[in-house]
Amino acid sequence: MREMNREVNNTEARLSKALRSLSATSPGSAPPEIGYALAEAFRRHHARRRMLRRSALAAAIVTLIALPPVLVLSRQHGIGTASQNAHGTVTNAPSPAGVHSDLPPLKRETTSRSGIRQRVVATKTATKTKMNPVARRDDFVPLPTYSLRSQAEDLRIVRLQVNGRDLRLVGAPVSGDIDERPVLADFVVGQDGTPYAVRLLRQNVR
Amino acid sequence: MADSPTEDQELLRQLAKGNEVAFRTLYERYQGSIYGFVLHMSGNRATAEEVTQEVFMLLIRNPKSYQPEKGSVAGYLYGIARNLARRAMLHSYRHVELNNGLGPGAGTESGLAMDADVLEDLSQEELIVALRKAVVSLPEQYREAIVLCDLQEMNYADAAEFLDCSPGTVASRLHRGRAMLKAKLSCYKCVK
Repeated sequence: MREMNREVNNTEARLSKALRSLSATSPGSAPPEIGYALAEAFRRHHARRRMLRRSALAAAIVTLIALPPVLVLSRQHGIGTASQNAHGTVTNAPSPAGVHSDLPPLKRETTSRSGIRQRVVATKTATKTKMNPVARRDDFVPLPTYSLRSQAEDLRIVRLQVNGRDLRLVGAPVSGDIDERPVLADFVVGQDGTPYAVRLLRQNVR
Repeated sequence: MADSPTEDQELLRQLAKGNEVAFRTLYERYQGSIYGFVLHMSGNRATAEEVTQEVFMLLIRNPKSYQPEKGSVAGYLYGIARNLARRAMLHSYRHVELNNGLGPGAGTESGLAMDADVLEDLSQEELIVALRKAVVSLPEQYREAIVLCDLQEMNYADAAEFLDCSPGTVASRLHRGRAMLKAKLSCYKCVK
């Protein structure tokens, strides 16, 4: 048994020695050409990286320099357009003597006025109503309250649904046949709510 | 293995910034061991050169892929080398099979009993040639243990880190690998 153990130990020692010899005879480093090639690759890689970084930096600087003037110009342009639009709204305020349908989008308002039953018209009601091409008018019709002085006022358009009778009461030229029928109409009103003109849009058919 | 893990990390940071001296230092520090590791694993000089070059090329291209919390720079480099070497060997099938046609029992521990003095009988040159072939013909997990611990004189803890296993596993693989080596060398003598 002891002999066997000694034999095994000897073999282990010899194997270790042989492995050390193998390690010693093996090349301890890669060929120098690999080192040169890698150093070259390193330099190329970082030269390219530095160039890209410089380009990006230059682009950023150019953008920073160019941005303020561009912003100022676009802002000025924006202000100009906005003021033109604002002016357009004012001038587009209907002149009851013959305003056409190219009016700016209407504001829905629920200004309460005595004598006129009004309702805000929901879009959903459109499905329940039927357009009456005869009832629709593109032009505003001046009401008896209209005067030249009213043109100087800040006018607004209010869309309302009123009965035919109410329309007749404010002076709109509608027949007695539609007294009980609701009619959708745009009213040009002054600052105090006085209606100066009306445009009939549609008449609900019951 | 590593001179200092933190120093390696600092070198890697400098390398990422484009410091060529840092790159050269890291290269000089690890190229030999990586080259030796791949050479012993593959038994092929060209593969060892290719893999060594590729390991450092990856380091140049993407130094930030190293994550300090996952281990040392040395372990990271060895990990890359190990994967690349494995891929290269699978691709080329350049394994040296000493077992082929050597009879039953070749390459196993049972072969050990055949001739314990085989190492003594072989000349030094023959022994090295036979040993190199025997190492390359070992199964990968045993070969890795032999190469790292016996040929590169790495301690169990470092080898365990690189192989992503416990030091006990390394010791076990080393023991088994050595037994297989002896068996293969015995068989070599038989054939001669």
